[in-house]
Amino acid sequence: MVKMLRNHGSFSRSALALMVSFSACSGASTGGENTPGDLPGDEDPDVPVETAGCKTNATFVRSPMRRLTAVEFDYAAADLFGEAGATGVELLPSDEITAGYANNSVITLQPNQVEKFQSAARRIAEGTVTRVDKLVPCSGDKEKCALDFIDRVGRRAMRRPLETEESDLFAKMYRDKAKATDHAQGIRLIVETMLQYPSFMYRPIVGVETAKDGVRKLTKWELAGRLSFFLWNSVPDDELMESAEAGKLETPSGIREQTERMMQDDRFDRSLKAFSVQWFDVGAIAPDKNPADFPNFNQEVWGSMRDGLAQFFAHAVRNGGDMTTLMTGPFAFANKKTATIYGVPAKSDTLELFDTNPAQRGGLMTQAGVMAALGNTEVSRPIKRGLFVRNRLLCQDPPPPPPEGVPPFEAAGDNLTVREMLEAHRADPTCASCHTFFDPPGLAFSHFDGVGQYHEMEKGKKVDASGTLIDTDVDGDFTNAIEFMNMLKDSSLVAACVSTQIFRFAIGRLEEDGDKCAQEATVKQFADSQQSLPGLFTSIATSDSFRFTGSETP
Amino acid sequence: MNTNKNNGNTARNNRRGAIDYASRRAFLKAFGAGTVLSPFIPLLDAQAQAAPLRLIVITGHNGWGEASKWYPSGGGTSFTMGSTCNSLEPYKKDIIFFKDFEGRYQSDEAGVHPMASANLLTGSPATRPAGGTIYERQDATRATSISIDQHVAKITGKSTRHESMIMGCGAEPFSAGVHIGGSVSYRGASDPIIAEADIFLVFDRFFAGAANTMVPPSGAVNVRAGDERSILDAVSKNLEWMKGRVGTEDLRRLGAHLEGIRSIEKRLPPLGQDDGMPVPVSGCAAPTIPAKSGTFNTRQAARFLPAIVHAQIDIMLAAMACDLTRVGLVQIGVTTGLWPPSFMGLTNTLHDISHNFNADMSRFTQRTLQEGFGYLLKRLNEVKDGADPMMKNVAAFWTNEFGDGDAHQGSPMPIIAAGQAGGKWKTGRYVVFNGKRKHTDFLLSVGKLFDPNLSKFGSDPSAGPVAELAG
Repeated sequence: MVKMLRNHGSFSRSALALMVSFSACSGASTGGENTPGDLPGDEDPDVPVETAGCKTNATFVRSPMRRLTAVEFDYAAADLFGEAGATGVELLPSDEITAGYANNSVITLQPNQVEKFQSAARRIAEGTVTRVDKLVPCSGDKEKCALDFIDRVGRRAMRRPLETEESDLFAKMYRDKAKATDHAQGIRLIVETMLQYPSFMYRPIVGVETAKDGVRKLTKWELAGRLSFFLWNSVPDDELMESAEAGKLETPSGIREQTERMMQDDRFDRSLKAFSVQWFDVGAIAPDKNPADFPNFNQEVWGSMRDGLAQFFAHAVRNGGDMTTLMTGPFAFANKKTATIYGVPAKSDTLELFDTNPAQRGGLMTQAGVMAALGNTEVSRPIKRGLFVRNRLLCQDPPPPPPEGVPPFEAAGDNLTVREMLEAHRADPTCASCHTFFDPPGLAFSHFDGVGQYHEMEKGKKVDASGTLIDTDVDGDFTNAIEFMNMLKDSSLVAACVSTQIFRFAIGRLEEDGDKCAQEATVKQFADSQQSLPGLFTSIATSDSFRFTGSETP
Repeated sequence: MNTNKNNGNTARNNRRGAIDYASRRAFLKAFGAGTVLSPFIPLLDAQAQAAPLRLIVITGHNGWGEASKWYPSGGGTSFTMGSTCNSLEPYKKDIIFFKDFEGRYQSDEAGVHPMASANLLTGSPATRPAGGTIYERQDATRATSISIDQHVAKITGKSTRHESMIMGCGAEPFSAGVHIGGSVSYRGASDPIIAEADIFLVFDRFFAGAANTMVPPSGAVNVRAGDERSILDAVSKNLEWMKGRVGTEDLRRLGAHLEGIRSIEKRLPPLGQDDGMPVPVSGCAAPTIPAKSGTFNTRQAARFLPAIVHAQIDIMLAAMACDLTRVGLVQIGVTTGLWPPSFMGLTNTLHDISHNFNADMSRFTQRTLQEGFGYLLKRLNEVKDGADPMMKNVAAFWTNEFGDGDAHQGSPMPIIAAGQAGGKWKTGRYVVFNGKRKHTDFLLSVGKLFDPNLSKFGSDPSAGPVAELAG
């Protein structure tokens, strides 16, 4: 296992390349058109893999059609028509989070939301008028260039070749417009239409029948789309489309080849960010903090914290990190706005990589954005943090609340620390059943205040972050967050949960019984690769749940 | 005063065809009245049709706090509001205060909050998937039928530019996106509407609108002529094509998208004409809302709830005065709710407050009633339909998915009705029911105002409409 390579300030692409080929099974021949490779499923790519020892009576459920999220729409517009950020994401309909992730949304578009996409499309399209020569380079016949543009860009935008009728319709629209006005306006109209085109905005997964009843295999085009939105949060590039067309995405090995290529592209950072901020529920809007307690906290500081979290995760994956990196890596990305919070000498506005004090701070949980999102307005917030650890790191449900309702907190004296208040609460046996479950994983972070700054003292007393973790595979005592996270890094529950979270993001729905075997296989591959994070992305992309779908939801 | 010859719009008007001169609103809408028209508006007023009936819903969440502070004292037409509702005291003549309705949800399971909130206006039980942890299941909780505001909107929306205006203040807890396990307005089963938090977007949509961008600068060639129609045409064709290629569950979403396209088309000028329909600006003025500059943040309910809610109500009533829509909803807060109402000095989150700080929950309910429902009643007395206050032609109500939020009790469920509903509701009363009345009966009564043949709303058995509304 190659340990994470520290590469201050920038990602190491070569390290990633090394890791992904290393994490893939040894001696793998990656590539080759339909050449059976070394992955399960390569031999008979048209039916799901029979995993030894795994049995489920359930079959795959059908994956609901997804609409592009606001961020995906923005990235896709940039990739297809240039000019990143032209959309104005804040003007698009808000993304609804379902099952933890925005791309799981099943919400329908309301009329006012259709209008929002309409205005976004118009804004982006009008921006192309003055740079049409760059967007559609053309030395000869302008109409011919325009028609080429329609087919070439249309294929990537819709993740399939345009139907003849569609191609003809776009061509007619271009011609009529160009005739009435000019070439640039003709292109503008095409751009504006494509951005509102349902085949662009929605990602249906229908698949084709397989030899196995109730199991359908994704078409090559659907797979290309699923892959690009999973890894890039955007539409495919020409190479991915060509690879689909050549039938290379039919086998797990073929998918792996593209996955590894795409993970070395800058666009992978987008997905790493989208996934990590949603996994940790670190939203775009700053949580409210009491200015009397945190006078320097504002939206800009929050933005730096949020980006810092995303970069932590990206750095871990890009550099072949593992669970140890995720859970305990003693580093952070900080700039001058967050320097004090992290206690590092950051001087510029740009986020840079710093070592953090390994006795105080390490891993994703202790990133300022996470601690602040899970922090109260004033004090640290153990219950919220504890529930978060249970839900999002361990994928565990809390026990049901007592039937008579939740008893109120005892009147808190001003001098009580949060720990003391909770201890009083846990003394009530009705409360203890739940609170012994989720208080300790939260109290472990007692050193971190509402904006994620580390403190030795709270209300004049030395902070006590000790506790006992129960109901996991790594139960035991700890005295602080570092010890606690060092326990979690060895938990197979946490490793499986990380895999589940990426699964939900990749497939766009919650896991169901039919995914059991595919999920178990992924978790096993993760363990076998010594928990290589880039390897985990590849495993999920080549898994049966990614390649197959069901007929209808049971 | 010469009504038809003194402005340059006549030709355009004639070209468009029939205008219903009996209706000032329809006239303004179709004509696009500018200032030049204002001199003859009074003439049209004289023959104006009766003002239409509107529905306004304001929701509160997580319960009312302390029961002892909730109920009025006295009874019948002589009563005094409890301290939580003291802001409604000046408008007692306009309300019917009910004690109480029976809601569906009790404290029977974890994560009941979004189940209760999905039930609130739909009257049907909610569903949620089996997978994931409670955290994910709450997000994915959905109602199983249409909500009353949307039922009405589908009827009244046939006569107005927009079916409804659904807004929320703090209805989206801060997060990477919107967690909608807390939506109250549904267009159908599993089809929630995300309440719009951004007052500027709502304002633009109703009062500046996409339509205006279609009007070319004078003298310039309109390069956009006919674009919207040809784009929407291509989009519709593609939607139809896709419909034959997706599963049944996805069809619903494509259908809803198509509906959105149709509603935009409805507002476009006839093919080949390049002038859009400007929004009426005379007689029914655009509202004044806070400036975009400064520290004001339309999405930060924690700090700016009063200003946001006032603006939302002002926008809603202005849109109703212009008959741009007849259905409006403001969701104040959200069930569960992970933000603290710092604007009133409270530092715990809504959910914490509802479970652990009952006195603060009363304070929060008092304040949000004052800024929301109280402010609405004040404005409904000020805004006029001709000579009458708009109050006369409004059916409004405030409700909450819980009474006792700490215990997750949907019964008793608080409902305060307001407005004379075009003469059908007799206000100024405190009604105490003998026996139980389900909240779905109240939803049915509201529905019947707009849909007389309605006999049941939601999935529970109905005892029929609430006769006490009529006195």
